[in-house]
Amino acid sequence: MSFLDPAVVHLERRDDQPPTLSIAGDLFFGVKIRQAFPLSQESRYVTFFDQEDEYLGIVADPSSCDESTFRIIRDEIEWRYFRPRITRVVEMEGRGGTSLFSVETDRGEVKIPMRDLREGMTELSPGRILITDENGNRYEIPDLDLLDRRSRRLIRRLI
Amino acid sequence: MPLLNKIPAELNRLIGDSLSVGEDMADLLFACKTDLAPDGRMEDSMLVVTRRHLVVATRSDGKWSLTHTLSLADIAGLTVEPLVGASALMATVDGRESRLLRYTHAVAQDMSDAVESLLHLIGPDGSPDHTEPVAEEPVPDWSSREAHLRTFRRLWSFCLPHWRTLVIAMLVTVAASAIDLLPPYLTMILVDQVLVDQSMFIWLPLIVALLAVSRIVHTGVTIISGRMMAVLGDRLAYDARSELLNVLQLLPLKYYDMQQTGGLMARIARDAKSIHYFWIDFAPQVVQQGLLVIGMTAVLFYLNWELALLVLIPIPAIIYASFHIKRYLMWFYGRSWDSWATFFERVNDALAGIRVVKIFAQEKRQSLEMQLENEKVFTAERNIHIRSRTVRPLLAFIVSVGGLLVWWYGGQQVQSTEMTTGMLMAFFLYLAMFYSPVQQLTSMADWIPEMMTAITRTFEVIDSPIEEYTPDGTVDVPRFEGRLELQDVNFGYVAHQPVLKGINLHVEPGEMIGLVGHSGAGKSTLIKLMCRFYDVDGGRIMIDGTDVRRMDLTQLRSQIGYVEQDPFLFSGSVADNIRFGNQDASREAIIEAAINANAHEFIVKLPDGYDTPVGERGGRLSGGERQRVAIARAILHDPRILILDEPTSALDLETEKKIQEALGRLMEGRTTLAIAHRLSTLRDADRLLVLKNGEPVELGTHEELLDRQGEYYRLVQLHTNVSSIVGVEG
Ligand SMILES: Nc1ncnc2c1ncn2[C@@H]1O[C@H](COP(=O)(O)OP(=O)(O)O)[C@@H](O)[C@H]1O
Ligand SMILES: [Mg+2]
Repeated sequence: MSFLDPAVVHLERRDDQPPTLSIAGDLFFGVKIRQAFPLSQESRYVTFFDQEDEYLGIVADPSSCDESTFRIIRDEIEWRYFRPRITRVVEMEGRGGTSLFSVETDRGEVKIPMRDLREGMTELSPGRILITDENGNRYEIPDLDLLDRRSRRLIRRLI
Repeated sequence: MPLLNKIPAELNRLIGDSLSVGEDMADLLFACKTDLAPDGRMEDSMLVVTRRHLVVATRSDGKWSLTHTLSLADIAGLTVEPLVGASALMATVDGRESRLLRYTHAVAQDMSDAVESLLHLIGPDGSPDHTEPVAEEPVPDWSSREAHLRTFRRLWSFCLPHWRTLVIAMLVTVAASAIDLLPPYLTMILVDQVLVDQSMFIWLPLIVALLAVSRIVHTGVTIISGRMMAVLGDRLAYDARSELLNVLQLLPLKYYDMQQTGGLMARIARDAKSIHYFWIDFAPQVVQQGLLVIGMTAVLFYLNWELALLVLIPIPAIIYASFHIKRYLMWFYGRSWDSWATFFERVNDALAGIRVVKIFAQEKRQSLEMQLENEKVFTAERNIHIRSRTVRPLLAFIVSVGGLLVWWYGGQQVQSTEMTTGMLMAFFLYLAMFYSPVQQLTSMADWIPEMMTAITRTFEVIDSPIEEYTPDGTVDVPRFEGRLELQDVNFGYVAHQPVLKGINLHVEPGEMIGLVGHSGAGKSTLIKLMCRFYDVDGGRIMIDGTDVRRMDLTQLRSQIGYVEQDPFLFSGSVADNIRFGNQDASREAIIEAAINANAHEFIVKLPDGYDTPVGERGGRLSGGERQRVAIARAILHDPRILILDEPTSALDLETEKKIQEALGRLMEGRTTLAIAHRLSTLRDADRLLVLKNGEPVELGTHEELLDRQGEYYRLVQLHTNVSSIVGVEG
């Protein structure tokens, strides 16, 4: 009823174009895929929107779609949600109100500029931290306990 | 025109090679450096625009490569798609949209300049909105002193569970006091016996060692007792806070009508802390200093009773003075509390209403008014400090009189060899120690009143009667059918000022009743009675034939759903708010409820979807969005009886329609009482109850009442006029 049956949902994609979705035979071009719970439940509940951003439907468990559809869903989510995971905190320097965090992430090294350290850090769940920098870019520490001691100490001081 | 970032030579050559004949780098218009590679790595990338081409290049392992080369003539449209945490540049070529590159917010400004320039070469696009927070600040109130004795008893009952710790800490404190008495006595022996007699010199090291040991033991003991009392104090403050927090949820709504929320916050934060001060600073000090005074008095009398009497002469003066000062200062403390209270209230108001202030251009007047409150605080504080700073030196002077007396009388006795020099020295050492505890006890006097007031206030809240959740003879009603009966209901918030008079109403299960009436007619009050936020003064309210006063409150309220006019959302995520009434609801159920409330679509379009924080009081959502989240919350709650306070404010037609639809789904199969403002709701209602000044004047369907041409007819006429002006119709 409210949820789409994964068996009738198929995605196709060519080159750099947004994917084409077929729901029980109806075709929709240039669809957008969004997560319903991008922070608390990333692997489930994906929603589809057409080219005009009209809502098409929601699939509760994308992993029960056919394999290539599932892969496209994963790629699309990867493409829409840009949130590098921090793997190491190299150093932290204060520069007149703005602090610079040098970190290593799964997407490469980066210096994160932050105006208000405490404001920009949210603990989503124990040990899982979301960092929002002064440009609005976001970074995630999936599990603080998995970082090295030094990184942990640098972060712990701030939350 | 933007940013001609330097183009690396290698890239330059690559681009040159790929461009068509007849075009070279001299045709370069601009370039913009971006920060993401196609695979999402944070790598340098570049958007290069020449007179005829758009080129996207990216670097990987230090080598540049081209990912897209498009002819400008082929590009039909160019848009920026906001992603979550990044943006994407999309180009339409051959009627199909294609993704050129992604970039983070760090280069968003540069890129939007670049895209704008590009659009000049090729067409246009739009943007989003949002915002607003609210503040909260403390406001205390002042209470009487009579309750202090009771307060002491309550304080005691609070620490009763910890009596063991308390006894040990006290014993340790006694030991510390006893050790304090030792050094002057040892000094006397040293001066009178060891120092004057060559043969006694072997005792010197021993006595010095004893002095050292007594200091060390004293230090150790002080640390131990200090720590024990501190932990105990923290524990007790914690206990008091938890009791307060529990009670705050259980107090009847009536209590909150009379109290300002800010005042309650102040109580939790500050007053509970006073209990901590009492046990950490106050009680141990009193015990230790008190014991010291008693011990020293005994030793002084033992050494020389005449001199001891002289030492005691200033004591009555000190006690008398401190007693009066306490009362005197207390009044000023009260004034200070009051002035702080109004100050916070004023500032809080000004900040919460800052938008209104600015719209009406009243900043100056507001500042002035706040300044006035600031001055009152200043005066009150100054009054306290001037007085306490006068009183203390005066007390010190009285104390010094004791010293003069000892010099005068003791000096004479030493001259006539009735007393040894060592003893006089010991007397002075004791004296120095003697008045300081007396003075400390005195100076404590000026914060006894402050502390006691705070503690009393804490207990006041803790002891307030809470709602009666399970009244005697509770009738178990696990699932309502939904039959409502109001029999001769009378009610007033204040005695002898009836707000509702003689309300009679029968509602069948599943029926929908609209409540109509001018503002102030008593519609909201009737609804509050249904939820049993208040009890009727006369008559009764029955659900399925049982008086609501004989129902378990939790059971009653869990079967009533209430959608307020301006729904309150808690800070937390959208999902948290929807599952507010059913903590263990699954994500599927939450989504289902949101879909039925027409909220799902806008929610999943938020960057963080259901995980989006709604902000304080839901301030980050628009009015229509808040409404729909509240409806989803009510749908998930699945109440048997629904109470609905329709929003008066007109929303845009589209939102209005969505909310109407959502409400329709929510009302299906439930008994509904709705304060109706929309014509459509009025038409759909099975019956309408018209209230006027708290009295029921008409009851019937929309058509019946219109035909009667009475109160309802007049209300509707007014209503339709207004609606046609604002353009809202059912
Ligand atoms: N908490 C309260 N304490 C005292 N009087 C109140 C309170 N709430 C409402 N009233 C008064 O009760 C009357 C009915 O108010 P209400 O039920 O809110 O009217 P309506 O919802 O029909 O506009 C009004 O005169 C109002 O001033
Ligand atoms: Mg009202």
